[in-house]
Parts: sequence; C-alpha cells; structure tokens
Amino acid sequence: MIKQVVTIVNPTGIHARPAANIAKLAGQYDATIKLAHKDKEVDAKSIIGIMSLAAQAGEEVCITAEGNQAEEAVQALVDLLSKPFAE
Amino acid sequence: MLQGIGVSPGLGIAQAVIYQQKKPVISAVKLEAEAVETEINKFKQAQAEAKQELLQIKKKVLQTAGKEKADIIEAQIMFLEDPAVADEIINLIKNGYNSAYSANQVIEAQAQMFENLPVPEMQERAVDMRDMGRRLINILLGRKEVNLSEITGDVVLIAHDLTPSDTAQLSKDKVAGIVTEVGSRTSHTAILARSLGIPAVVGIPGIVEQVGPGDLVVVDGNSGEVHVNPDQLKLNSFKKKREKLAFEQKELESLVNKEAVTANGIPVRIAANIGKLSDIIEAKKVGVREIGLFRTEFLYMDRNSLPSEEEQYRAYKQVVEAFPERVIIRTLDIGGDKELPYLKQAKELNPFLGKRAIRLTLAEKDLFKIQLRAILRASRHGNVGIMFPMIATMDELLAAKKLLEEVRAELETEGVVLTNPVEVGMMIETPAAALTADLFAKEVDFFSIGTNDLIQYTMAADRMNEQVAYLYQPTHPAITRLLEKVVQAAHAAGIWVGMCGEMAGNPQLTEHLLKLGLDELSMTRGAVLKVKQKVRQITL
Repeated sequence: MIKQVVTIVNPTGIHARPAANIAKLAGQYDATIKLAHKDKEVDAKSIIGIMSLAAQAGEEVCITAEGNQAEEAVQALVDLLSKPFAE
Repeated sequence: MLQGIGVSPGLGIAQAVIYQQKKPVISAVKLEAEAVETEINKFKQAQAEAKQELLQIKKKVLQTAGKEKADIIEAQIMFLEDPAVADEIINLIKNGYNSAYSANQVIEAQAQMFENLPVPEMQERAVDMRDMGRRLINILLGRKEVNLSEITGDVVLIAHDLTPSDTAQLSKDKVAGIVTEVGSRTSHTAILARSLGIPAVVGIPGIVEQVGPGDLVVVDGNSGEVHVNPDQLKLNSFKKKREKLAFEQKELESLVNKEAVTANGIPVRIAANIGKLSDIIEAKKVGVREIGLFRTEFLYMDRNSLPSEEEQYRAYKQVVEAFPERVIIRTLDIGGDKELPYLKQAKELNPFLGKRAIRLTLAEKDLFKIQLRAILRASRHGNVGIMFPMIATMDELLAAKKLLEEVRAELETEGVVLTNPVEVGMMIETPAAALTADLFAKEVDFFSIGTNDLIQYTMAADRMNEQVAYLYQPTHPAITRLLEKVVQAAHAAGIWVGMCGEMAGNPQLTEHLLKLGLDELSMTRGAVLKVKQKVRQITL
C-alpha cells in the first residue's frame, strides 16, 4: 500500500470544484484510492465523499492507494493537492 | 396587494402558472429475490435518462447563464454517478427494496450529510443533491411534472422556490415574471432572474395556495408588489406603466454603443465601479470602456487566509485585459464595516473613524506589498492606475508611494520588466484631503472623489443611521465648496479628477457635477446608461 500525507494549500480548502477535480483524476486509475482527514476516510473517486471531509486550508490529508498503478495515482493526487487549484 | 421583496426590476403582467414541486409519495416495497435484477436495471436506465436530461440542461445553461451556473449542473451529474450514491442505491435494491425508495433513502441521507457540514458553501450542495434526486425519482416513478421548458406563451411563474435546474430552463420570451414564497436578493432565483431580465419578487409566503392557475398577476420587481386579478382601471394603469418602462428601457439600450458627449459636443468619461470578476461582463453589456474603481476587497473576504500574490495578479490581469482603456485599482479598503477574521483586528468603538483602508495597510506592510506587487505585475497587460483610499495626511500618501517604489525596484531586480506607465492617484474622501487638495495634487496623477464617505465625514452623519439620514445631502453647500476646491486644485496642477461615489451615478446630479468640472464619473453599471442619456442632453 502506498501512503502519503499532504497539506492543503488551496486557500478556500477542498470545496465543490476542487473535489470534482480530485474525483475525476482518481477515477483515471484502477487502484483503490482513499483520502483520510481527521478521523474520516473516504473513496477518492467519490466527489461526495471528498466534499464530506470539508477539509480546510492548512489541514492535512492522507492519501493511500492499493492495487494497479497505486504509486502513480498517489503521486498525481499529491501534485494536485499540494498546489492551489485553478478557480 | 401582496408585498414581497423586489429582486429583479421591471413590470410583468400575465396569467399565473403554478409550479408546484410536490414531493412524491414513496413507499417501501419488499422485492421478491428474482425481481432484484430487473429493479437494478430499472435504476440504471433511470440514471442514464436523468443524466441525459442534465446534460441537455447543462448545455442550455452554458449558453444562457455561463460556466459558473453550468458547473452546478455538472456537479449534479457527478452526484448522480458517484459511487456514494449509485453503489449505495444498488446495495439497497439488493437488500430487497424498490428502486424509488432506495434512491430516496440514499439521496436524502447524503443531502443531510451536506447540511451538517461546517462549511456554508458545502451546506448549499444539499439543494443540488435533492434537485438531482427529484429528477431521478420522478423518472423511476414515471411521474410528469410541469416542464418549465415546455411553457408556452406569456406567464407569471408562481412557485415555492426554484431550484438551479428549474431556473436553467426559463427564458424571457415565455416568462413575464416570477414570484416565489422564499428567497432573498442573493438567492439563486434572484440572481438568475436578474441575469435574464425577468421581473421577480420573492418572499411572499402562501402565494402558491392563494393564486390559482389562470389568475392574472402583476409583478412589480422594483417595488416588490404583487397584484392578483386587479380591476380594469388598475390593470390599465399597470399596462401603461409597463409600456413606459419598456420604452425607456429601449431608449437606454440604444445608447450602449453611443458616445458620452454633451449636446454641445464635449466628451465625458463615464466609467464603471466593479467589485468582483463577474461584473466584467455586466459592465461590458452597458458599453463601459474603463473602470474608475475596482474594489479589491472581494479577493480578501469570505475566506480564512490572505489571497496570494499569484491569485491577486490573475484577478487583476483579467480585469485589466478586459478594459484596455483604463482600470483604476483601489488598494484594500478594509476596516469600517468590513472585517477580515484572519487579520485579528481589534474591536473599535468607532470603526468608520478607526483603523481602516490605508491606515490598516500601512500598518500591515507585508499584506500591502503583496497587493502592490500583484497590481504592478498586472500593469504589464494594460493601462493601470493605483488608487490609495482614505488618505488624510501627506505622510500617509508619501509612505504609500515609497512602498510602491520599493516594490517596483524589487520586481525589477527579480527581472520583471515594467514598461507601461502606472498612474498613481488617491481617493478624496476625508475633509482633510479635500481641504489640502492643492498640496496633494503635486504628488499624484489623479484624484477620485469618494462622495459616500466625504459626505458622511463632512456632515458628521452616519449614512447607515436612518435617524440622521436627512443630513446626507450631496448638494449641501459644504459639499459643493469642497468639490469646487478639489476640482480647482486638480486642474491647477494639470491632473484629472473623477468621482466614484454614489453621487456620480445619480442622473439628477450629472449636470451639477459636469458644471463643477469633473473629468470622469464612475458608477455602478446600472446607472451608466441613465447618466449617459443625461450627459447627451446637457449643454455646458
């Protein structure tokens, strides 16, 4: 299992549009990908799950992936999460 | 007569269509084991059908209301296909429940999840979730609702509230007016009605029960009045008023591309005040070519931390490129009635006389420099002016200018080439600045008079306090003398002087202001055509 923690830098946190971007990106990989924030873990391919985290700027999110392309998936999500989202 | 809140101007007169989104009755039905497979397929078909409908709506919204609204519909499509919805519904069906019941359970649970999130922006997503759910469940139950896109003829639409996908299907040709039971100026219905130019009134509880289909309804989006089945005499006067409004509107619209010149041929610069990026399109619609006041506060508000230089740069660049003629960017005017939670400002007894605008930014130099850097970088893309708010003393102006020069030098060391000249100006909104305008005029490229504050500070009357509202007098001799002094000081020094307070957008004062010698009038976009019309009638 691949695992990495990132800090959210997008000033308004992960709201609707960033959540959509994350879910779309995660959906391109076969691996089972999860996002964990505080004591909650959700499916990274679910926009609803990601939005339910209500993750704010400065908070940490843990990305884990298992299966095919797990490593690439985690890397791609780290890249997306560790920069401000284009609005 | 029913009184509501007018949220979109204009007068609509037509027969009522009651748009009732009655919640369907959904009962739980236990399925036989062999029926499960069929039920799952039924759900999948309905899901595909709902997706097709939403894609159609999205396409239409993209053309009529823009990308932001289309994204809301896109989110509904994503909800529909999300594993947290689709997989959960299938799971419930596998447990032996009918599809409509399963869908309702799952979608309602997700909507409630959104409502309980600590972020307001996320709570609103519950509306989108339920909007999507209603569509899906109607398909599963084979239920037909009044389809808003199939409305023919001229109608006044009466509803409890309109959802995003409802309003997306409205058009001005078919809907003469909208009345809803709930809502506010900033609610979804209000924003869309304004952008479509449909008169609308919100906040009349019980209207859905009081009005029957076919009743004749008059909607006055200016006053917020709604009249049901008025007598012939009243109806005639409403019709006359509607004709008059339509005629005036047409007259105004014919001025969009005409020049703002007086009857004797003297050109007048009419500019717009804007405060967010979506104002760009609105200002362009009324033919505005320059921005006399770009308020930058929106970048700083409703968030938990300061906007980055990059974020500000991108926003400024967008406006600067949209109005190549000129964009005056005002540096942060926070404090007073606007607070930023992350700045930890001390509570003040008299915030309008406290640490606001330039007083605050000079104390928070890091914040100020980031903004100045972003503005200077954006100046490479057009014709930019920087304007400092609330200047009262020369020291403040010189300190701000010095910081600007420091920032410019830093950027140049970093290799950022700044070739376009940048005008540096100040707001005249304190009586102190107005009275010493001759001294300030030697240090700046322009003045812009902020009359809202200048009047309240000169008359010592809080403009938000209704009990002293009578003192808010734009044409009081004290104000007129200050304006004269400022204009003379500017012209003696060879710089231009504009006005960006509400006074500039009042057509009744246009002649007064032009006679005083103002070079530019900057106003909310709603006033632009009316002031232009006035300018064209005046002989100076």
